[in-house]
Amino acid sequence: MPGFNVYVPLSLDDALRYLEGNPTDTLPIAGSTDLLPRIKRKQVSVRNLVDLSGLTVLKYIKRDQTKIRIGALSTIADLEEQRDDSASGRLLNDVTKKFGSPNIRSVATVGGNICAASSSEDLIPVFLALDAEVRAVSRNGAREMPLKEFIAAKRKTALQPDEILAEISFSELNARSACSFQKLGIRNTLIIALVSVAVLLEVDETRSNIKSARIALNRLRGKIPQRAESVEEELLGQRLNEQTIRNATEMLGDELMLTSDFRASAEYRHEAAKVLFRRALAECQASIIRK
Amino acid sequence: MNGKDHALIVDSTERLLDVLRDRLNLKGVKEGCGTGDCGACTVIMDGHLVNSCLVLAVQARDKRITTIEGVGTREKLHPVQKAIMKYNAAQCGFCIPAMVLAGKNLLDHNPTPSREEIKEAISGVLCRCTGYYKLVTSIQEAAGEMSGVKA
Amino acid sequence: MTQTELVRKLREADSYVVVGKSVQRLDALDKVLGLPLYTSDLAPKDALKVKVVRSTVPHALIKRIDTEPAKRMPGVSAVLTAQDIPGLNEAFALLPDRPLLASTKVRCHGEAIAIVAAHDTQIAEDAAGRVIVQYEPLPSVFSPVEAMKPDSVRVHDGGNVAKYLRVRKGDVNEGFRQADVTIENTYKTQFQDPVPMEPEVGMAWVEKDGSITCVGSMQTPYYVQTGVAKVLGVSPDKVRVIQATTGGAFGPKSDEMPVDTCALSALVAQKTGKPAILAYTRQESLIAHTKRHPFVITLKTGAKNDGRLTASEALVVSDTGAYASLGPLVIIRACFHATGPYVIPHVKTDAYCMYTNNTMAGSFRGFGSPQVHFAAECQMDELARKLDVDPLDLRLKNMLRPGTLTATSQVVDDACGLEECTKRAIEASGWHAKRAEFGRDQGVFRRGIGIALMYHGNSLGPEGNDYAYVHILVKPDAKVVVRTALTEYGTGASSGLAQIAAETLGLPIDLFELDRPDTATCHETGPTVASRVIVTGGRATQLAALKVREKILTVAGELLQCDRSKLRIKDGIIHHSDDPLRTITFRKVVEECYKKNVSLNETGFYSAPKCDFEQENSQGTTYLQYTYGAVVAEIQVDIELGVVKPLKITTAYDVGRAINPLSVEGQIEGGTVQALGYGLTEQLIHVNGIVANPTLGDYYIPTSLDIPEIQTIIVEYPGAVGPFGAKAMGEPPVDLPAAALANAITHATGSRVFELPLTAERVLFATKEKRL
Repeated sequence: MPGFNVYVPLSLDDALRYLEGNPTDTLPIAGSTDLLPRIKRKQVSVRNLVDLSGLTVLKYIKRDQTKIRIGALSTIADLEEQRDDSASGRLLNDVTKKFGSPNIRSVATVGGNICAASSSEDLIPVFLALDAEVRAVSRNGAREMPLKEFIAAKRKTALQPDEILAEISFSELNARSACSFQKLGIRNTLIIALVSVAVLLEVDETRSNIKSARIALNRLRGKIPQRAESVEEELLGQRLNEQTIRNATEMLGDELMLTSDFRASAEYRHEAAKVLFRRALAECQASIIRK
Repeated sequence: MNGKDHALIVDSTERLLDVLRDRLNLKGVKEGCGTGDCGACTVIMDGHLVNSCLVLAVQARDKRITTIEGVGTREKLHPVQKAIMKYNAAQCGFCIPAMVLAGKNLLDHNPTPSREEIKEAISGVLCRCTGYYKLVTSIQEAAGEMSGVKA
Repeated sequence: MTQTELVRKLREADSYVVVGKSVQRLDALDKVLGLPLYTSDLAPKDALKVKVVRSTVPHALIKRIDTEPAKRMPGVSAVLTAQDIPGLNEAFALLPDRPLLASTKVRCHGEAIAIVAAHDTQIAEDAAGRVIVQYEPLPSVFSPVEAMKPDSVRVHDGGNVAKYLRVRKGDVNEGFRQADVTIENTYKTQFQDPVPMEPEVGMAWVEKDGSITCVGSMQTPYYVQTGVAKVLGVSPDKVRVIQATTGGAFGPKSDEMPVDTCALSALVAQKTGKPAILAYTRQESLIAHTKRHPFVITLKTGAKNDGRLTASEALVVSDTGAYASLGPLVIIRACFHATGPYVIPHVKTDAYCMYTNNTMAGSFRGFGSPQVHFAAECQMDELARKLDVDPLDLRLKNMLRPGTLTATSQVVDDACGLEECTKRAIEASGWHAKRAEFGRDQGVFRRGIGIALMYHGNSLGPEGNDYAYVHILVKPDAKVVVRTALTEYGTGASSGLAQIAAETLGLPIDLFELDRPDTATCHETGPTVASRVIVTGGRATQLAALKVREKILTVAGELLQCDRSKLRIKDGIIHHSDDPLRTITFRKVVEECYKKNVSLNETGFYSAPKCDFEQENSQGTTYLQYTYGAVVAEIQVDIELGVVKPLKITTAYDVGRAINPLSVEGQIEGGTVQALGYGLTEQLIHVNGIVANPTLGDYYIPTSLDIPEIQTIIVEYPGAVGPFGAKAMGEPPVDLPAAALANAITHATGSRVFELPLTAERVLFATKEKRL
């Protein structure tokens, strides 16, 4: 393992103070599942790691009126173990089941997944569809921003060197909302998604028309997760039926700009993304009809 | 570590895997890939399965860790170990410490798992020899024995 | 009774005591406790860690190697290149085409150029990164078919053909003239990586007397001994090689890899006087070790309208990468089995093993058989489609049966369970009902059921001398040690040898111990490959056991004062066949033997009869016995995504005699899952000669969540050669699942993928193409 120091903070404030004092070549580490292999492969050069794994103050999942707040150091296993039967609870359960392996889930954190900012991170499309907000803290205070602004580019977030991602939050889904997560990999588990799609639909009081739609894919027009905003706009006010689903799928197809690599061709990813999107819409529709 | 406290001064870059193998001489935990993809380095940490190749030694401070050396003895095997012997489910043996730990941890939390739940529990440990079949059967039988029900 | 008669009597015994029983493997207890020590576990604390500098380009001249920057690093104990090799700079399995360390040229990605040793692994790795290699890139060839062209880039001076051979039976032109229907297709298979869970590792140290001892993860200690001695420039008796517990092998640990790891460690040990260990990282292992040969197979098949096959013409081309390894032998097996297990009067097969600038292919479980069976069995289904007959009926009509001739004109003997395997697999899988029902599926999920049949010539056959030495030693406490240089690496074969010895000696299995394969104590015995431990090693074990038995009965006869021909051994008791009260324990006899200085240390040597066949057209007896099998695969295809979900694999194998049924099942289940990966998800991808996915996060072997229901049916038609009639079962289980899956997918979708793996992308696009 290439050399680095590890600072073990005694408190969140201690961690923030350290980061403030060591702005260069310093990174926070938590579950290590993403960062350690990258350090080993020399894809990341770092002098100091700040070990956040002991900061239990950031490990929580709580309901605050209509908002769900998840501490950034909650592990995927923490998400898995919460038996929340709400729509969002079930969605998160669905995502975590397909995430890595049990061994990875034990230590990988929500914050780590988000800060990795790549199309391999399963939680990002889901939180994008949930229109989540993130809170970053530093010794100067806290700031909140929508997740979609937080992810700037591949492996780049809006986090400043003296900040830690502390929390991610989103509004609970109301009774007229439904959501769906679809993931396609080359095998069933321990797999990076080729394509993943998260969709959240809300219907109006008549339950026939789409009031709002949020659509996120692990890759849309580049190599980071993004919201398909033009398709979302198109769906506003539309009747929730087969025709609408078909049209939306075609439109998404026009929006997609995917690349080929040795794992799969752009053509296949394109086809698969359309299929997963259509299935996500159909699942939302079925769920709304059932309610 | 397997019920006994240890106080160690470790290097910042040392992994839990290195501490176990090199400092505590616990050779049952193996390195199969070093990137968290194969699970041969699995240990139980505070009741969860983790890949010890991805845990920095310093991150394991104050944790309760179980390795294969802490599961069963020649005279008194854990039911999972007994069942693996019965079905000749161990072939080259390299993944077996991890498989035993995964089986034990599952049964500690869920005494009556379905076959699907067993497959889930061991899904982070790769095996190239056995095809998993008899390993799943072994854990199922151990579950039956531990809960007093025939598998 | 002569030895031959006794062996035959043992083969035919109706009820065995130990053989045929699912007794626990001898190493089972140690394994569940995590006790076995693999090579890395044995490394002394002061061992130097060796790291290898490897080529980053597929084909280039080496203009300069600058090791100074590495040598200068503090903590570095040695930096060695080819010029530091005291003996011969050679490490090849068969053809003398490969250096241990490249000095003037590299021919593939990952080729070893220099080694660095240091106490600290990170220092060794950093230092290795500082060695400067200056390349002058050369044009490369990455396709074996391209490599056949006269103007192709040459990988080796002698041309790109590492081996050519052919089969000629009858007159294929006449055969096609007789045919009513002819089809021709080209099939392609990929590089599959063996992925043993323990990556390659070897360790060496210098003994006080200057000799070298090597310990490593390996299949064949004597190959390593020869290889290391050659590199060090010493005679083989100055090199001792011990096989440590080995975490899976499947082939690469029998070819060049263990020689590489041990010889490179030995060089460092010799140079520094300290023990040295070379443990491959997983990435290094995936790039550098030998893999399954990719094949391109063009098959042209002719048949009459009633389904009778008349002709087969095949062009079989393998890609052995930059160095041949055992490619020349893999191509032989592929060539002889290329038609599949069918009676075809006119056969023309041309088989080429080609060099390219891809990484090396070599031994891997199946050894050419999975590739040709994929092609042959897909072809049978395609033919069935063309003839509009049921694919099962087509197979039943043409399959090998006793008295018929193989493609090499070998007469099939009575030990041919192919038909029974087929029928039992058909019945157990519910073939007929499902074939009809699944064809009616509509909607997104379509089910399919497909079948494939195989035959697998046992042991080395035409590949070399097939012999084995096994030692049996009875200790004073009456424990029986089975000691051989044939190795155990998960197959359970060594325990099987103990069972054979136990049966032959009439002793309970718990008296037996296995000793470590060690060139100091075990006679050279040929490689542990080709599933020959039970077949050839088993015969040698029987012979050693018979010798021990002879001694025991002689002494027992003296003690019981009776004619020893009346004595029998059962369950550790020697008793008189006519007077059941006249008994003596095995233990007592052993004590007497020791008192009387009667040696109970015997060696059994067995050499299989040479296969007698005419070399030019490959006609004659090519293998002494065959394993047969049938696999039915049931799958479900998501036709919108192309994703294939295996539902059930039904297998039926004619294993001759199952020495240990649980172990045989374990081999079948493990091989089936390995072949599932081969069929659906595994491919080691080279992009312009560079391995693009050398990590387990990007090379997908099946996990526990990928396995379907697997049914194993064991059929027994005792073979002519194996002990108790046992046939090879280490390799055959990987031959068929990919083919059966391909046929099931075609049943489900109506279209065919001619290439492995059967990825979702390929299935989807084949299906869409058809629907257009």
